[in-house]
This record gives sequence, structure tokens and C-alpha cells, in this order.
Amino acid sequence: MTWLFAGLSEDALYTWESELSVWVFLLSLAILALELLRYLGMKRCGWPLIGDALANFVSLGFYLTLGYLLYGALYLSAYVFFHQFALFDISLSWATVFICVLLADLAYYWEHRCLHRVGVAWATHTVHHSSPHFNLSVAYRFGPMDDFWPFFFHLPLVLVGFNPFVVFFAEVFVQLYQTFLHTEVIGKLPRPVEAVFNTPSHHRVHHGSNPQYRDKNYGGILIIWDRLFGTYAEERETVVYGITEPLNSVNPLKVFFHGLTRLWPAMRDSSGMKNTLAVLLRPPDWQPVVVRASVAHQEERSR
Amino acid sequence: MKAFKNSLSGGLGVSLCLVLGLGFLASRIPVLEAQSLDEDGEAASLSQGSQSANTSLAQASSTSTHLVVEVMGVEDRPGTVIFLVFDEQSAYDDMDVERAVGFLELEASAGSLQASFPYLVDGPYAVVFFHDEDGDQDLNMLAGFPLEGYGTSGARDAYHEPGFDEAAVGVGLNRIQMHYLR
Ligand SMILES: [Zn+2]
Repeated sequence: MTWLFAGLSEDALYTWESELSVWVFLLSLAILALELLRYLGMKRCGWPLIGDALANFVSLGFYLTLGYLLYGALYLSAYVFFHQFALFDISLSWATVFICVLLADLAYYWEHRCLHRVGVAWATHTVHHSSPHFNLSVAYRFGPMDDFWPFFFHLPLVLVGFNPFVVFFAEVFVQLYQTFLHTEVIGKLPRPVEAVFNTPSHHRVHHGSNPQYRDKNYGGILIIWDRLFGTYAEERETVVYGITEPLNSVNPLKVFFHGLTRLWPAMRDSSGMKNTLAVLLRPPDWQPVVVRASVAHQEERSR
Repeated sequence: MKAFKNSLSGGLGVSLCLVLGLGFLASRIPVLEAQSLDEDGEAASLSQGSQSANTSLAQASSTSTHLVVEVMGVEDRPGTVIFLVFDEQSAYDDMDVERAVGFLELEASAGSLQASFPYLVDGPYAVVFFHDEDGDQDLNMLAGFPLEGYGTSGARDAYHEPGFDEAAVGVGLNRIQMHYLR
């Protein structure tokens, strides 16, 4: 067990992280190929599915470009800067990395919940959810500000005293774990696993637009956060994937920017500063009282 | 448990306590110093390893009357390791090569590397070095981060930039860690 407590260097951790990312990517491509074969057998492997998968990888390209140009260096330098105000002095070993991953998973829970319940954050996360399909390629479907929000939620870990590189590693690790959740191939795992860990089943629920599945199962690696904080739902009814207002497009540009292009008219048409702010900060399904009333009226009439 | 299940502030409070509690726990975890960086299987007994390292350190510092620097953790990369030694604050602060009292460039080799300065016999000295992979005689940087390996005497970790007083070391053997961020 000494390896757990032996000193670990930042560059060793960096190497682990990059190797892991590459292997996860290659493995998910292999699994995706199997998934496509399966869909082919089920005669579900048409252009909608292929086009969507391609759009997903193009969005990954956009995301990585933005990350490289904009966020990457800024992110780490800001972490290094804030690290000098750290509360505790935490050394670097696999033991502390493990604790950091656990806390990064908790931070991710709150980040993810905020991505769904705050309008301006949803404008980027909606991209990930807008696919009507569910396969490994959806894991790589990213929005323009997906690299932006995690910063604020993981900063507390740096301030508590975790090494900035460890926090970064932990964030990436939580993300990588979730890659393999995006599949219909795996049904339910053994009960103890389903009780503690986020699984394909739990994550299918998260991607569901069925009313009872909406805004549920935010967890990254562990599902216990959802059970603890009251946002858990079990997969029972067949999941209908996607968002409530479907995108109906596999155009990568439309896919990548639709959150922002949908947010903009809502902001423009909102009357007064207070409502504009509310569009940005309130849950995405929020509408001003007046509009809500007329929508309800329409719904009543259409029934 | 029911109390905070549906309350946002309750959940956030619990989460904050977890972050602080586990953060504190992490800060109490001792780290075993990885003394034997040379990969010839000496890592077998960690405590013994550190003891022998200490004795050799003591021996070396009592025998040599000039500045000797041993760089730990040099990675297997091309290029040279360039050393600069300063004996005064302002030259060190400015990283002024012209006013460095010691300059040495050694072929890089994986593991540890010893630099000897026979003419530097009284301290204190601040030592900086970097792994010049591309041979441009300069430490390449990106957004404030060194892209090549680097190290400073008296630095606690990769992010610590010691002032001259903290960096100051005496004659004899000084072991200093090289850090690579990339
Ligand atoms: Zn989500």
C-alpha cells in the first residue's frame, strides 16, 4: 500500500491523464463501432444516427479548439494563482488524489445541477442533451462554454488546498468516467453497483425528456449525491432522449450554437432588466408571469 | 437526512462541510518522500532509503568545501541542463546572466545530475537551473508556465518561487528537485 502514500509528481499525473484520455477515446470509438453494427441489425442505422454522430465529433473539435485557445492556459494559471490562498497544505500522493476525485465528483454534481437550472449555463449544456440518440458519440457532444463553468465549481477545491494540477486531473477523470455511460447496450448492472455508482441506466434517465426524468441524476461517478440531495429517478419507462424543444438538425454549427441562439431572443424580448436577468439566471423553463399565463391559456384551448 | 433532501441550502451546506472535512483529512495524510528516484530497485525500503540518502548527504557536505548541486528527477529528454548561480539578491531577482557568479551547461541524462562549482567556496548562493530541451539557451514559457524542466534551490514545490533568502544554500552538496509541468 505504500504506493498510495508515496510522493507523486505533477508531471507523472499529467502523463497519466493524457494517456487515460487517449485510451478512453480509442476504446469509445471501438464501442461506438459495435453500437453502430447493433443499430444496423435493428435497421436503425440511417442518416439521422450517422449524421448526429458526425455532428457530435465536429462539436468536439469546436470545443477542443475553444479550450485550447481560450480556457486552457487561463484556467490553470488562475488555479495556481488562487492556490496561494489555500486553507490547508495538502501533499501530492495517490491517496490525496483519490480524495480530490471524490470531492471533484461532488463539485461536479452541483455544477451539473446548475448547468440544468440556470438559463445561461443551460445555453451551453443543452448542446450535450440535444441529441435524440444515445450512443458513445454523444459523450463527445460539447457546447461552447462547457469548459467555462467547471472552473467556478472546482475552485473551492484549490482554495481548500488541493494541488491545482490534481484538481484539474480529478475534473478530467470525472468526465472520462462518464464517457462510457452513454450507451443503450448495457441494461442494468448488479444492484449494489446501481445503488452507489452512476451507470448507463441512471444516465439514460438523465438524458430523458420524459417529464418524470427531467432534471434528474446529475451525478458524475457516484449516484449517491442524487439520492442524498433529492434528484434521483430510477429508469422504468422507456427513455425518450433529447430536449423538450427538439433541434431536428445534424448541422454541427446549429448543434453547437443553438443554446446561445435560443437564449438571445428570450433576452431580447424580455421586458425590463429584471426579466432579462431572470432569463439568464432562472431555470431554462422559466417564463415571465404574463407569458406563462397566455401559454397556459393556449394549452387549454388546444386540448 | 430528509431535512436537506429537498432543500438547496441544506444540500450545499452538507457539501461544504464535506469539502472542508475531507480537505482537512487530506492535509493530515503523510507523504512518503520518494528518495530513490534512480530506477534500480532501491525503492524497496523507503525509510532505509531516506536514511542512506541523508548519510551520503552529510558525508558529501562535510567533504566538499565548494558548491555542488545534484539535480534530482531529470527526465529522459534531449538537450542540456543549464545552471545559474547568484550570490546577491538583485542579480537573482533580475535573473541577470551577466551578474551570475556561476554558469554551467551539462548534457542532460535521465535520473540525477551533479554540477560542481570548484571556484564557489563561500555562500550563500541561490541556484536556478532548467532543462534546455531545444537548445535555445532560454527557459521556454507559456502563459506564465515553464514548458521545460526547471528548479530553484529552496523551492518547496513546483509553484514556489523563493526569494533570495529562501533560496540561499551553502557550499557542499545540495540536492534540488527538477520540475516538469509538461
Ligand atoms: Zn446534463
